[in-house]
This record gives sequence, C-alpha cells and structure tokens, in this order.
Amino acid sequence: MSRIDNRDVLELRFRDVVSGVTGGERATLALRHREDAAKTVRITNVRSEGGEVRADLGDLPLDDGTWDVLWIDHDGRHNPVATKDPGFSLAERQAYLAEPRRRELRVIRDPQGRLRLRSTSVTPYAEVSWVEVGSETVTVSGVLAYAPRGEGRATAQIVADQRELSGAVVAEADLVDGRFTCDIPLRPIVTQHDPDRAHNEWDLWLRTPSHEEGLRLGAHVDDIVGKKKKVVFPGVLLRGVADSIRIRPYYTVDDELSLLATIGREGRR
Amino acid sequence: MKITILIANAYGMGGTIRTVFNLAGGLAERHEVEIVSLVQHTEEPFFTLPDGVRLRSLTWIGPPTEGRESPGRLERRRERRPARPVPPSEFRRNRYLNARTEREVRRLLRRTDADVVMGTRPGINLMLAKWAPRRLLTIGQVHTHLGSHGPDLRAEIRRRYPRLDGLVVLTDSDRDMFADFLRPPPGWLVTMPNALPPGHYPRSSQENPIIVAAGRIAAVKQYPKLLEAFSMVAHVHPEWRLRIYAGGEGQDDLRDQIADMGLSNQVTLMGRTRDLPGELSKGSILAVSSRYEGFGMTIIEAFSVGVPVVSFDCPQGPREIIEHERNGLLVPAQEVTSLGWALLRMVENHDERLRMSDAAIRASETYALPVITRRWEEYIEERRASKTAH
Repeated sequence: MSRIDNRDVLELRFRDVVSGVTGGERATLALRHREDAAKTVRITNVRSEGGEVRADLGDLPLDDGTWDVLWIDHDGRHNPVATKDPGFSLAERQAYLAEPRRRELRVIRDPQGRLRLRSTSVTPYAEVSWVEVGSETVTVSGVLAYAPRGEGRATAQIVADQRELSGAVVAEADLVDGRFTCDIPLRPIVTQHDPDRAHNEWDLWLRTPSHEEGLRLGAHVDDIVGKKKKVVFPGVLLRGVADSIRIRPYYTVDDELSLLATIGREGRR
Repeated sequence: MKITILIANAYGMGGTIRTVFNLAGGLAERHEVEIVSLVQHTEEPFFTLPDGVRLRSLTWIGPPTEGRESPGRLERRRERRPARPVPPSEFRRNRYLNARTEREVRRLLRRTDADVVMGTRPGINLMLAKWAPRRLLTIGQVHTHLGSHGPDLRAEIRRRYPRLDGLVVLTDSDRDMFADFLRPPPGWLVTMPNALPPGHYPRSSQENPIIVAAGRIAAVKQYPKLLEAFSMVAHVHPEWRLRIYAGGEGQDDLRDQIADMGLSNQVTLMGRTRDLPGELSKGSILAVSSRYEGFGMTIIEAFSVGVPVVSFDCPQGPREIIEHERNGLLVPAQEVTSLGWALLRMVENHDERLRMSDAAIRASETYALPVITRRWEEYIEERRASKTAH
C-alpha cells in the first residue's frame, strides 16, 4: 500500500511494498527529482509503526515534476521503493480535492513497479462530475476543488465566456456544501453566435463569493489525461435566426470543459 | 540444448512476436536460444530482446544503408514468388514467406548446429516440414485458429504437418480441432498456453468503480454489445465507469454510439497503453464481449493483477482460462442481457469480487513464465526421446 492522504502524508505499508526491509527497521526516505538527480530531498518527518510508515510531506519544498521515492539503508545507499499499489484510488483523489491547496501530490506506480511521487502546482478549480445535454440546456454538476467549501447554500453562477470574443452567458448555479449544479441555457449562445468564425468556443467558469474571478470547469481527478479524444458528448441542434447552431460540450486539450457551437445541419453530430 | 525459433519478422510489434520473445527468454535460462527472423526492416526490434537470447535476420528489407544494399533484380523476383511449399492464401497473408527467404531458410537448416527448430506460423511450419534435415527436432507453433485458414493451406497442413516432430497449440479447443484433422500419434500434439511476461505486477484494490475492456477495435471484440451490457450497470450505478483500452480504426463509430446511448459520462475510449497490467489494476472487473478469442492473454493479465473477469462463453479462450464463479463469470455467448446481469452482480458484490480477486491471482500463477517454460522443456525432451526411439 502506498497512498497520499489529504494532509499530504505519504503512507506506506512496508511489508507490502519493500523487499528486504523489515517492519522494525527505522525507515529513512528521500525523494529524487526525475529530471535533476541533484535535487534530492530527505524526508525528515517520518514515523514508523509496525509495518507502516507515515512521512509528512506537507512542509517539504518540492519543485513540480516527478520524483523517485527512495529508501536509504544503513550504508547510506538510496534504493528504489517497489509498490504493488496501482497508484490510483478514485475515492482518495476525490477526498484530496476537498482541501484548499496550491500544490497537488500524487503517488504513481511506474510500469516497472517503482513508487514515484508527482508534484504539481495547482490553482482552485471546479471539478466536473457530470454533464447532461438537454434540448435547450446543458446541465453541469461537480465539486469545488482546492478551494474552501463553505457549509450550506451559497450564491454562484456559471459564466460561459465566448473565447476571443466578448460574448458571455451567465446562469444561476446551485452551490451547496461545495457541490454545484447548473442548467446553462443554450438560446443565448445561439443568439450571440458569430457566423464568421467556423468554431465558437465557450469556456465555462464557476463564479462563487470567494472566487469572483471564476473557477475554470475541468475534470482532472480521474487520472485520465487527454479527454478531448477520449470523451465525447452528444450535440444538440437549435434553430437560430439565419442558421441552425449545433452545440456540444467538449473537453479541451487541458481537460477543461467548454461548449463548441458550430453552424449545423440536421443529422450531423 | 540449442533452440532456434524461426519467425517471419521479429522486428515488428504483433502479439505473436511478443509471446515468442517471452518464451525465448524463459528457455534461455537453461538453453542456448536464437530467434531467427526471415526479414528485418529496422535496426532494433520493437520489443526488448530478453537477456541471453540472440536475434538475427536472414534478409534485410529496410532502406539501403551502409553494408546493406537493396536486393538485386533476381532477389526482387524471388520476393514475388511464394516459398515452397507455402500455398497462395498463406503467401497473401504474409509476403515474407517468399522464394528469397526460402533459400535462406534452407541454407540455415542445412548448416545449423541447433538441436531444435521451431516455426511460429503455418508457412514456416510447412517449410520446416519440407526442408529440415532429419537430425533436427522440428516443432510447429500454432498461433492462429485452424478455421481461419483457406482450403489450400488446410490441405498443405494435412499433408505436411505430420512430418514435424511435434505441434503446439494455445488452447484445448485448438488441440481438439487439430486432433480431428490430423489424427496424430499420442504425445505429438499438446496445448501450451502463452506465459505471463516476468515482472512486478500491481494488485487491484477492488476499490475503484471501474470496469475495464481491452483489445483492438475490431468487429470480433463486439464493443457495441459491451456498451449495451454496461448500460444496465450505468443506469443503476452512475458512479461506475467503463474504460476501453483499444486502438485501431472504428473509434469514431464507437464514440458516436457512446454519445447516442447517453454513456458519455461513464465510458471512456482510452486508446492504447504500453502498461496494460498497470491500467487493469486501477479497475475492479475486466469485461470480455468477444465473438471468439484466439487465446485470451488479456484475461491472464487481468488475473495477474487480481481483477476477476466477466466474459461471454465464446468458443476457445475464456472458457479455458476462467473458472466460472471462482475467478470470474462466464455467460452464454451473445446474450447481452446476461452479460449485463453478470456485470451488475459483480458491481454490487464487493466481497465476491475480493474473493474472486484472490482466486484470480492464484490462477495466474499457472501461467508464470518459469511454469510454462518447464512444460516446454518436458515436451521437447519427450519429443526428442520419441524421435530417437523411432
């Protein structure tokens, strides 16, 4: 077992993950940056009990990137830590989103079975859990990620920003205990469609009292990178003044959620 | 013992190449093993050559480089003619089985100091049957279904395979088919499953609400049927996901079906992966909706990471690997609703999944490389003894 909890404590169940290390041995761990071996950080705040080791990484200065997790033996040798843990627990990743933070730590298992840690600078965002395409609306729901989740109901809006143009559509969102849901009306998107552009993209933001500037909607918790080609939503065709406009939610190359509006024909997705 | 394995092109990236490399690595622990490729088109093979295994090629078909010239006119003409005794349908499937490579294979067979020579596809097995001198022990490997061969190839197989010293197939169902077709003497024909590549496998926690499917996008995999079955789970348990690891053409059609069926939030087309065991271990169930499976390597890979399998009981493959109710569930072939119910049962029974996960790991040990290698060694020894006795 090798996990990161939501307080950035790396938990290792040693009997499971390291061969040649007994539970009673005092564990010394270090992290070495994959792209710059000179960057090696010794983990000082380590507690071991029985076969379990808890290493607090919360205060460690770690640059963005992937780090090898190393175990230092009595002779000072740095050994890779092998793991049988797949390095992905959806429930734990979801719990991890609940705390405000600027740095995200994830444990990873590489194809050879070595334990690694990925450190990424993050900003608060709105994690999308469900998208439903209706005849006149697109309904999105999800949770606040890395942002404070106030208790009870709060005012919030989804803002659809027309990319590289000035159009905007604002819709009231339901925000309760950090969970949001919103029906985004599609008629205003049809009305503001610029026919001179082949594609009108509308980027989606969640505006909350503590994030007036908006939190970008995206889906990052499930470990799937590159959703643009992997996830496809149905489109809906709406009659405009001159043309019919087809609107379809999609994930961008950064796995952020947007709406794509194009001049559409019947029967085409 | 010196063992030579002949393969059409060891430098490509097919399933046969991967399993041949794997077996060669296992045999190389105690024997001298050489893989001989009829052709070579790149400097380095796609798959990593296992330790202790030698690789060489008989002909260069890549772009001319220093020391490697383009074939002359005579050689080009030979490349257009099938090797003897390769029939037209087999030559159409694999153009490397030509008169140019035949000359090289015959030269190799005349001069080699190997004890055992193995073929890895019908055309090569036929060449061994015709051209190998009596001092060599010849073993044919079968990686494809007998039913998929044309009448001309079947006729050549019937005529020439009996001259081989042994034939090895992947499944018992293949064995039964060849037994009916060739009426071989006892001990000549055996089933030898593919082995799991050695490595440190992860272990599914059975916590993630993820069903996995894997295999190229092809009609035989019947992914539309899997979508239908999964939709029975999806409506009742919206937190469950289906991840399909597949490459190949036809992705657009599948994407449209996913959207049309309202499964966009729950089904993801993951593309290909180089670490299938790693991805399987993130899931809790493997679903197999194939019309037929040649062998079912994915099922064994799922077992190796503690993932039970729900599968159509299609001809070959799954029924020989999955023990129903123990490490997975087999449902009648083509019955989509049964597949859906079986998936639903697994989704809703965490304890059952944990029990099956343990059993799956135990079942996968049968396919460990040292175990399969030992079976090969015993078979080769038996065949040598039988040949000497006659």
